[in-house]
Amino acid sequence: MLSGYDVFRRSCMFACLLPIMVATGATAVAAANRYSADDLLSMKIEDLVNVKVTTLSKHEEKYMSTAGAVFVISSDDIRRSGARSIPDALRLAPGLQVSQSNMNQFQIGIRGQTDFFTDLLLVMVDGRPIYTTTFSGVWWVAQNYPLQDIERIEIVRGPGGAVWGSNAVNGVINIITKNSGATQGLRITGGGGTTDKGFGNISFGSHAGNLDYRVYAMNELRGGGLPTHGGLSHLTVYPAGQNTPDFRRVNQQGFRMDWDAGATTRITLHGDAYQVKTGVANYWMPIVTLPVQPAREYRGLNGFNGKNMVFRLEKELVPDILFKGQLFYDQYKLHTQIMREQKETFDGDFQVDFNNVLSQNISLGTNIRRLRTRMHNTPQFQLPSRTTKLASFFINDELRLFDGLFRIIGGMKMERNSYTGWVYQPSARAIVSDDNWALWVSASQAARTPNDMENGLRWNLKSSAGKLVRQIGSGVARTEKVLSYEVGARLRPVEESLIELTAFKIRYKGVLDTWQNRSATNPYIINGIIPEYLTNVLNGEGDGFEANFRYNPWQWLTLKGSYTYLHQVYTDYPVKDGETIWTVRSNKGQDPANRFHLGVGVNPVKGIEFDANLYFTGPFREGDIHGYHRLDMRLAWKPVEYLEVSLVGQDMLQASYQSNTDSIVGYAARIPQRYYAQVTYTYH
Amino acid sequence: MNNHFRHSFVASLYTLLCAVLIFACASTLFAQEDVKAGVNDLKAVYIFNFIRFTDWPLRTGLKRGSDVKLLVLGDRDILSTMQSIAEKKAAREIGLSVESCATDSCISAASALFIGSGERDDYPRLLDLVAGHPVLTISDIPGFAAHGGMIEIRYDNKKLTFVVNLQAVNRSGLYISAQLLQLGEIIGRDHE
Repeated sequence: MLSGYDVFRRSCMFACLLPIMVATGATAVAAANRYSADDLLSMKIEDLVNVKVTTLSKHEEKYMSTAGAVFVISSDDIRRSGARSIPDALRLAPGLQVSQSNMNQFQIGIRGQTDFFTDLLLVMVDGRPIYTTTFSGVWWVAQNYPLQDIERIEIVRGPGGAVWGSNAVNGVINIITKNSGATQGLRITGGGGTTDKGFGNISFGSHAGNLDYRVYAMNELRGGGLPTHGGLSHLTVYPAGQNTPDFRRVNQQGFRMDWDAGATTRITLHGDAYQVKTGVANYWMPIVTLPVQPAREYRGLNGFNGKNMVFRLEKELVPDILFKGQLFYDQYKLHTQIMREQKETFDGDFQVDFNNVLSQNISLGTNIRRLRTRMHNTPQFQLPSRTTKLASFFINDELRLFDGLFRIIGGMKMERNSYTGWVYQPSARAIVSDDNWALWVSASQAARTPNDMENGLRWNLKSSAGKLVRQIGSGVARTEKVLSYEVGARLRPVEESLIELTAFKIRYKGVLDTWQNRSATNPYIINGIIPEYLTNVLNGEGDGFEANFRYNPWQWLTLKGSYTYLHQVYTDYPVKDGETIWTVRSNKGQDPANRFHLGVGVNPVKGIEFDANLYFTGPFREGDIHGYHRLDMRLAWKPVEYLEVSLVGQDMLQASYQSNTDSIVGYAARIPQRYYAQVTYTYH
Repeated sequence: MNNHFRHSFVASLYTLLCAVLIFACASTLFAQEDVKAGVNDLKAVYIFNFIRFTDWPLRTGLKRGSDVKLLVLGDRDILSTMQSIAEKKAAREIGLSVESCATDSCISAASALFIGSGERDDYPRLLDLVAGHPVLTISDIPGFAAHGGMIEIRYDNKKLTFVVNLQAVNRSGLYISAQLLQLGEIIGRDHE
């Protein structure tokens, strides 16, 4: 029998020995490379006729040869979808479950466990994690950017822990903004509609020598949804005939500078500041002293304010050795009815890539992070103020064989956190690929590390049967370990087409959730309190597949779509009682089994764009959410080069519908049918 | 069950590890040149070389060492790659300038013309426009050389080859070096 230590020791050996072994075994293989135009210019014409070519762009070549389930939402895809927010744009990706319990709270997940917290996804903006370690998840409501300045959104389904570290369990989402060289000139966008009451952004980009820069400001006001059906629920906070209070107002400002400091050095500095206000309706315990009072409903305001600054340096030290360094500072303040938090993050990330070393590309990296949290505790919600640290080291090695046809990638990340010590996340992948097809397999271990709330929370949540329910993070939570196995295929039957299929199997050990200890001998129970512990409650398994295609039969027509199937089984372990069975059911019920997306984009004549996207989400939440279709359409007209006018309809198939149920941070609202118009003026 | 997780995972890792070893050793036997070029990069360098190996008639004042104006139509990728090539030393030595313009007078004033697939339907008209002028016409549109174009770039079995319509070249008064001609397929020889 292997102990955890043995597994770690052998995994470490694997990670450390891999580059050495492949180096000794593959000395005769020519270096993998791609000729630059400069290389080709210096060659004799007699040699040029023997050079092999690829019809793929560098980006497409990288995509086809990736041994994982990746997907890229391009800037064009976002614009043409009519999305008004980053979560809306994410619907375009296969395998992504995007629902919203009301107009400002989104639940986004990949391959299961998609609740408000979405603790298994690592989300970043330009490499800066926006995943908060307070509760393990993302405040999507506070993540905004002028959508026209987003270059692409890269989505990795499946574990990315070997490179990105913990919490990249079921996927990584990286939102990448445009280089400021690509956004030169003035751009003004404005619009409004039925629910998106008014929005606008202004961006100005210019340059001084080799330094490009951009500054921007944005403002958005989105109204609330509609009251949920269901008899008497939430009547005190959802007066008849009015919109629900879940509005959202966003103000955000930022800048980006890109400096080509010589032929081998690139420096980027960017920063943003945001002020977000949202409305909320929920329940709380206004009085938490005993004897217990019933919970009451309230309407209130939530405030999210933050700022960040990121410095990045990329330098080619010598040909084929690239250094990447990134430093960032991030601060956010959260103010809600019950929770007031200020968090600061200081982070340093350093990586060296050795390319074409004996047929291998080797990356070594390290990361240090310091998180300082200050809590202003309320009688309802208490969490210690503290400083936590994170340190990690990773190695990733890619070996190319047989003319680049076959590649093996091994990686390992070792990470130390303040709560559970060292965590090890190994990954092994292999791919056989050509310009027009690819087959890949992978096996990875990833980890979801315990968060701040699981270490020190006291949350007087609600009342139940005359007792006070208190969520307690007693610090017993261990790291949740997840093993994932994937197999995937890519095919380009004709140029301008792509078909992808991925099948996966996931095994969760120690899923972190809540467990109510109602044992009569528990001292809390004796004192009239039901303790709801945040700890490892379940083991589980998930399997399924994702299929997607894209086809441009003619320049004026794009067809795309995806289908996702997910099957999950959870077992309550180590405790099995009348309470844990509910956790099993709620985890299983968080995602639908079936989802699909079909999209069509048409350019009938120059200057006109028409797009329609149909999304289907099957029933979930044990039938509380019926399956629903969502149809979004966009018509855009560019009468002259510098002006674009567009009309967008969203959720056009029904007057309103419920996309998810109440969450712990707010009541659900029905999502109304929406229309808006937008005008963009660009001056170069 | 937990141990089963670990066993199966460790087994997977070791299987892949063995695969690495086997393939690493095997790679010493199957080593091949593993360097590719982007098809548009290579096309652009071909175009540059076609110009380099061409002499224009003296009366036009164009010969090696003087200015050569290349027009790129119907292919933005090739245009931008050619523009960056034009800034290199090798291109400056032959005085290469790269443009893209749409007017007939501008087109017939060029010394070389690349017609990309975006002009697939319009290329016979473009060829008529420059007929009789010393303009080197190049394209990657299939059938270009057979239909009166001078040099056609072809994609064949992951390599780029080219076809020269010698009759069209000679008629225009241009001279293409034998060093280039021997590497391509020739159609329209005088005796044919």
